[in-house]
Amino acid sequence: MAERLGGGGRAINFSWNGRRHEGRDGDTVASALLADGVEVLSRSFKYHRPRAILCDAGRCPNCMVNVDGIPNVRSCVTPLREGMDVRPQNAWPSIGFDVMSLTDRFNRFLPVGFYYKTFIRPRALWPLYETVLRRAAGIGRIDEHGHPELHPRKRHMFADVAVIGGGPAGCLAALEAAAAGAQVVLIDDQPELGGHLRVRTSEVAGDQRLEGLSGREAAARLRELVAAEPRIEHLADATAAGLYEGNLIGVTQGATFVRLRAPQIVLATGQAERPMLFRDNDRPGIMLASAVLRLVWLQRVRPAPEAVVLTDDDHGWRQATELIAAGVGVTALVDTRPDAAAAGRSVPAERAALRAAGVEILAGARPERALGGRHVTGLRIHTPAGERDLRTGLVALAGRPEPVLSLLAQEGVRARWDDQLGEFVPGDPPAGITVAGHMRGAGEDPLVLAGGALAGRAAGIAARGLAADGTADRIRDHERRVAETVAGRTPPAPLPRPGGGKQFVCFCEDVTAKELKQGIEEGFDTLETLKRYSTVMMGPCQGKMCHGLSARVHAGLADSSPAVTGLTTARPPFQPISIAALAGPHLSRIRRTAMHERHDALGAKWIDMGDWKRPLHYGDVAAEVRAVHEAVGLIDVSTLGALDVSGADAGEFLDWIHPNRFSDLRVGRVRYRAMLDDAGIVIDDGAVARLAAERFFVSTTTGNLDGVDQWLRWWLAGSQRRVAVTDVTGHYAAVNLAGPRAREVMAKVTDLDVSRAAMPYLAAVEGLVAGVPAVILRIGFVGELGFEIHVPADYGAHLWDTLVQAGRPLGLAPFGVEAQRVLRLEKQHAIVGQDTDALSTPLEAGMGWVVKAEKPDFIGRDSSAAVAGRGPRQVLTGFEIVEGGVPAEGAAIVRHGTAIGRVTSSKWSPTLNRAIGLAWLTSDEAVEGRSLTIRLGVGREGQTSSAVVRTRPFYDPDGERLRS
Amino acid sequence: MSPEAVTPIRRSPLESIHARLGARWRSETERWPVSYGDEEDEARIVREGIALAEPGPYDKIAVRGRSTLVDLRWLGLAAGAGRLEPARTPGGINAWVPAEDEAILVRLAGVGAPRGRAATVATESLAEIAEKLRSAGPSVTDVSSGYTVFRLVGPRLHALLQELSPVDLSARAVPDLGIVAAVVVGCRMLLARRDHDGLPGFVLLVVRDEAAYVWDSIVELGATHGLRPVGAAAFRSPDLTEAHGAVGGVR
Ligand code: FES
Repeated sequence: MAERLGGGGRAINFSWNGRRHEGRDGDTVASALLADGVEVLSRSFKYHRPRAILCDAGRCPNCMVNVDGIPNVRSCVTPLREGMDVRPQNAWPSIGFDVMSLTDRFNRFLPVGFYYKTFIRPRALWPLYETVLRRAAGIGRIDEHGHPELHPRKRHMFADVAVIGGGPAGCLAALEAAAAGAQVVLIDDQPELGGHLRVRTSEVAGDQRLEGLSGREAAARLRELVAAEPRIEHLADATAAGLYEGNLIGVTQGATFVRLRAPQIVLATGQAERPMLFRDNDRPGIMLASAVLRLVWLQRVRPAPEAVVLTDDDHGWRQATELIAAGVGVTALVDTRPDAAAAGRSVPAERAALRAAGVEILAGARPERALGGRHVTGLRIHTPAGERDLRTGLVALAGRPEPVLSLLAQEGVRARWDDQLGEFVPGDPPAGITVAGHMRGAGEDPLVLAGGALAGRAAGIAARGLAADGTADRIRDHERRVAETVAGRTPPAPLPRPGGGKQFVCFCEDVTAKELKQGIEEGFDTLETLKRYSTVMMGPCQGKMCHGLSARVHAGLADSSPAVTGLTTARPPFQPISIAALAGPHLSRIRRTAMHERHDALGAKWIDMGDWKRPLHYGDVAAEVRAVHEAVGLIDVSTLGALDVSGADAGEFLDWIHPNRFSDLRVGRVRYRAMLDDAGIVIDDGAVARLAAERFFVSTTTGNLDGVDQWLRWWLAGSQRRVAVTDVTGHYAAVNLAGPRAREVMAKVTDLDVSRAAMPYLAAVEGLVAGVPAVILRIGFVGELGFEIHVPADYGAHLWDTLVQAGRPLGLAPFGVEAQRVLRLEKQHAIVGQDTDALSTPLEAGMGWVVKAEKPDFIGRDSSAAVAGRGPRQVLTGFEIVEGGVPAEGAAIVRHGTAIGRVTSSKWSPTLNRAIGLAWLTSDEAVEGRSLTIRLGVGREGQTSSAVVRTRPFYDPDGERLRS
Repeated sequence: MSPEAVTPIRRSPLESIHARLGARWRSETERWPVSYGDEEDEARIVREGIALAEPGPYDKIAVRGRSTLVDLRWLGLAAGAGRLEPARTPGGINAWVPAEDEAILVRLAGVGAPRGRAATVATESLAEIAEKLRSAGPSVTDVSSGYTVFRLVGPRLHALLQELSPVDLSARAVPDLGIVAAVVVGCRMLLARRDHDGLPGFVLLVVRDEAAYVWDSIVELGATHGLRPVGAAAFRSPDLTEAHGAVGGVR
């Protein structure tokens, strides 16, 4: 029975599966549950076996629960908070009785690769299979309607040296790097620094700063030293989840995702205990020895008063001693290796102490199986003297720890199998990355501590570009000592060949040794293919518990060596990251015009056009259209791009960029512009106004500004032309005042002569409007007398207010994008990007007049000449519907079942009282009056409309109103 | 309605945001906030948390051309590229010179040569400077409304900057008066480091039409760092002009 050690700490109330529980300050969710009598936290993925704390360090899948609606939370590393709602997952109807646990009994019907073999026939049943499999698959359920409070954030950090791992080696590396003057970020996945020293009582040796201190005291000392060093920023509870090119480290810290860049990285991720293989090795009550120590020292919960320790290495002897010091009695130490003396190994130093503490030492013993059902009650072992059952409620697994190599492997550094150590060790890291501490395989204090300190010093010196100070010599000396130590080590006992029953290799995916054997027998005999077939290492822990073990089991079963087998490819993330954390805060750029608030006040319905917010309409599109035709309308066109193109060569440059000419444009005049790419395709259009001899005002379509700006700069780069391009889009707010009474409104707000004679169609004038300096262009897109007025945006709202006030008695009405689209369709004006595409040439898009073939050169000239030579293959033309509905944009136009074109725009015109549009047609079909059949498209399949081709504008075809 | 009867009102792109915060305006025709009511409290924010302000209004001209830096040197407005040349007198011109061939000159609106006195570089209007530059060669464009100016100051600024931008904006990477082009909350802009009273600070040249979005995003991300909007007066300068001089500071 688990018990709480000491009564201290504030009480914290929370619920488990709807029932009230009480924990203590300092508890994790898992430790609180354990202390309050709840051991089984989850059901396993495939066989739904009960699972409880295994690692207590966030490395396995066993303690995953749902916390406050968020699934797959590792409860052993989640601090308990008041009011938490904790629920089990992957169990139905309850964690105590899970119907799906029947699969555990009938597992012979679920062999490895079961899904691949079973659900392929009959093919007709696949939809059913898929539904069932999708229900059964996955762990945890997302509440699609709930909105957990996540507050994801992103941080971008920069440091001279990043140290990953807050154990003794990592802390010393950080301290030494900081002492060399470097700015250091120290990343540790625990709430406080110290690594394994936090749960160790034995004395630390090898560094003056820690000499003579117990492990726990040394950890506290390291914390003090780091906290006192201003050059170190410590990221606590933070996991380095990915290591990317250019020394970019992806770090998760709660809901925050940190991108950290550092020219020097010290990897001190240490080593970790792994489970050991025997039948039913997943029973609740079997946990890593380090987990027991963590529970006792960090959470003050003792899982059981006594334990049996199982090991294959001297490490287990040390852990047994530590358990006793932590108040957990050890009844027996089972070492799978033969007796040290008999095997010629040196006898572990702890032997006498353990014997004195009454620990029965069973060398050369092999674990057969765990005893008990829902909780372990003992361990059956096979000794040279025969089979024995050791009665215990806690089995502490203390197999030789493995270096944590995943991050290094992400950098492409393959781990190397060391026969002497009997484990994988890191390969040579790339420049800028150093490996230190327990990762190196030699776990003796002096080597771990000196290695960390030297790595930090060297990284600090390198990052700061300091002169060498003898550190390199000391590192060489250190490397020699590490090599010597490793050479003196004895490998752990080889893994026995797996026997019967379920011996779990992979706890996440419920993959047993037997299933791996089957997989190999079926031909999946490399670790990579076996991984994909059996899904071993593919669960939430991503191989943290089973990577090395899988490789060793595979090598044993395939009669090979891990040196040949190797490890599988490691990819980020090292630890699961929520999509929310990756996405970061919900930020998406919004651009607002200077009149935004005015539109809002008028009740505008908004439409997003790129990043811009534009008023689609103000409630009554038909009335807006009518106002433009009959009185005067006002539309905000600030979203049009605006460029100031100035300089002595500006006119000539614009000639080069466009197919028509601008160098001959008179000051005070505007000309239409269409821009082509090298293939002669229309990529933008707008207007060019010449405001001074060497100053042109160039407008672009909404959303195309950046492309045009870059296009112009691209062609200017390296040329000797004296031209400057300045983006003035943000500087100007712009409106178009359009309609037969527009001139009357203008006369009220400016002293300029706005008569037809003084300001004719295509005039460009600078002067005061509403008391503000303005650029006025006599152009329009909606087929009526129009004034496009550009003023500095700080005065945009003022201009709008003034025009509205002046125009109201004349029937002025604001109009939005929808009315504008109707009005321009009545004029058959194309919108580049909507009515044109990546194949549209000016000749075919009805803009052939814009191409001045006589010009010596311009971008797209040769292609335009080629199109002119062969003639248009398709033509953009108008159509009107004579019967049927308004077709969707993109609707197909067919003749005798064959496509002859497609609709690009179509709207109902309240002016014409019929639907009209623009469409691409093969050139032989684009004949005035030709009948067309248009398929209405998605949602109206099978329905068609009848239309006829109209090649001239529907409204004011000769443009008299526009020029008035 | 006659055209003369109209008094132009110059508005901050954040007018409605400032109004909701209770802004006291610089003037009825210049809608930039001097404060939101409690100047003492706003000054405390500058010292203890992070202050975000939109001082203004400023006039600005963009200068482009190969000789930009040379010409600015000739006028005594800039010394080198990659830095902000602060105004020499209250209300003077701040020269942002990100590169040798481009600059933006910024000056508090309405400041020019006092009547009856000879104009100096410190008192010339931007229009006069623009004319001189044009005659020297570079292209000069009025971008007064193209950008607005944000000021971020406070002891807790560093941590917030790490959330706002993927670019290293630490004091090591951008020294005082250094200029950097960076993406901040997804928007491209120029930033100049300008510390204030020993507190870390930045001035941001924000594209006008993105200003409300940038402001809202900074306020949202900054809330947990103790950020609060303040008016220009919170900078405790002897006069408003100098407070605005915070854009480049007064040397
Ligand atoms: S017990 Fe929590 S992750 Fe292993």
